[in-house]
Amino acid sequence: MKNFRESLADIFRHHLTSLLFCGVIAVTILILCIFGSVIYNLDSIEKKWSYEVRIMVFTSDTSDPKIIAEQIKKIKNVINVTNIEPIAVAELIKKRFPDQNITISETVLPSIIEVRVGIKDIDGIKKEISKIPEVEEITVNTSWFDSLKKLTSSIEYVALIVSGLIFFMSMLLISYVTKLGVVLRKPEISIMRFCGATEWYIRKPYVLSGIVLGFIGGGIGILFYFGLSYFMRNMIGNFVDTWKTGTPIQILIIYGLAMFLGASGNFMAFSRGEEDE
Amino acid sequence: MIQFDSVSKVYGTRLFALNSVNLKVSRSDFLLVTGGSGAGKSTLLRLIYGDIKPTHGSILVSGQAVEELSARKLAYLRRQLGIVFQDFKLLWNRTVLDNVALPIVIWDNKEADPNYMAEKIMKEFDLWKYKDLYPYQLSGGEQQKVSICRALIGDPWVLIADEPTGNLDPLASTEIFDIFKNASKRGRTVIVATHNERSISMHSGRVVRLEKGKLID
Ligand SMILES: Nc1ncnc2c1ncn2[C@@H]1O[C@H](COP(=O)(O)OP(=O)(O)OP(=O)(O)O)[C@@H](O)[C@H]1O
Ligand SMILES: [Mg+2]
Repeated sequence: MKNFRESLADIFRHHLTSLLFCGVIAVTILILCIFGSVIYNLDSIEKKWSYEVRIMVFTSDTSDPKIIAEQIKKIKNVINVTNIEPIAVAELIKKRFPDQNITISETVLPSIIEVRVGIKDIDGIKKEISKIPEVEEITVNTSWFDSLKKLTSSIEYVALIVSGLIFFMSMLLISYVTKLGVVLRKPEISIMRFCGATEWYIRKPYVLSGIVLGFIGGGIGILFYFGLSYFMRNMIGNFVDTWKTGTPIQILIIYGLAMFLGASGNFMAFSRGEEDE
Repeated sequence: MIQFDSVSKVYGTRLFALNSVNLKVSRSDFLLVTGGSGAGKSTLLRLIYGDIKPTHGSILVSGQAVEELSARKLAYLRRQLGIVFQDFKLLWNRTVLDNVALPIVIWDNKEADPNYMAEKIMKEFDLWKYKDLYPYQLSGGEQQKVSICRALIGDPWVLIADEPTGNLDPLASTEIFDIFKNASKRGRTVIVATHNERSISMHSGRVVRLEKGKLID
């Protein structure tokens, strides 16, 4: 408690530095939150879409699609199998092209078996289905998914790299400003060492006030992020309907990062091997 | 006991500041370390309190090899040593009282009351009247007495002083040396590096001489 009060006093004594640290931490955390939520939401969008993949199986005219469907159902990891009767196929086509007055004879149309699978299992399941002799053709259109995946993963990479860089740069900035203060106090620190101060005793005030500043700055950053996502939701409404702000655990992890960032100043600020001078 | 076992110290690559020094200092010895400028006196003292590490050899302080101690253990060893410098090394932004109490505050010992202990020792040295002043408001001799109070407040068994009278006039110097003599009489080991001819000639204890890093007993 006494240490805590001292570190508060320290923060007020160096209010300009404290303000700078708080600001840097708040901005860093806000950016981290935004990028983190982008990554998080992209991930869940991708997951959601990955269950929407459908394999279309065309069978030979002589076979009974129901029996084949039963066989496909037995394949591992298949989520759902639906028989689409020729009538339904005709209806589908009519619905798709309403202005063209096409009349289709049902007998011309093949029956289709629609298989829903997870994106990861496509290749294996395709192989299994093709082993069934009555199957004539298998089509699966994943090109849209591939491009979605490419897009999301490149966005993810960029977001990860940029947030890593920003975090690292704030750490450097905080370390250098801390180091400046430590260098100014160097005579005092060396006197304290001669009087028997341990390394921890000397660093403690920096670590404690760093954690407090991380707590304050991180809190501000996270509040801003909440405000921002609320605002976004109201602005864009339905579009970001499924947009998630983040789980409490994720927010807590980010908060932990903020306090780590605040305390990180003393890692580089106190260099070793300054004995021989 | 403090013991040097063929200790050498080389700064950089060229110069032997100390060259195979063997030395034993027993409890309640009062040892003067003399020698010209650059002879290695400060180097010898700094090795004792672990400010620098020897290039060869070993320094034992109460049975512990100083050069092998972890930072933490070294900090605890320094609590048994009182160190006095030529330039006093007082904290300019703290009062005389706070300067003297500093080690006790740092040690964070729940049972020890820094202010009470500082008061006791400052009264002994007739410095209590200055307790609320800042070091720059005192004379050099008084400042050195404050720094000696700080060195003695934790009741160390060794007192180490590097040119403690280098910045003082003869009268103040004599006073400082009397303080050291007293400390030695009370059973402390006292090691003082000095140029001061008068103090050397008046010294009744042991005197060692350094010449270009070699010890001449
Ligand atoms: N940090 C250092 N780096 C390089 N050389 C050093 C260092 N400290 C001391 N020396 C050299 O080591 C030698 C011994 O220095 P030391 O300070 O021990 O001498 P001294 O006897 O205390 O001298 P003085 O009486 O002037 O204080 C000198 O030649 C000095 O130049
Ligand atoms: Mg010297």
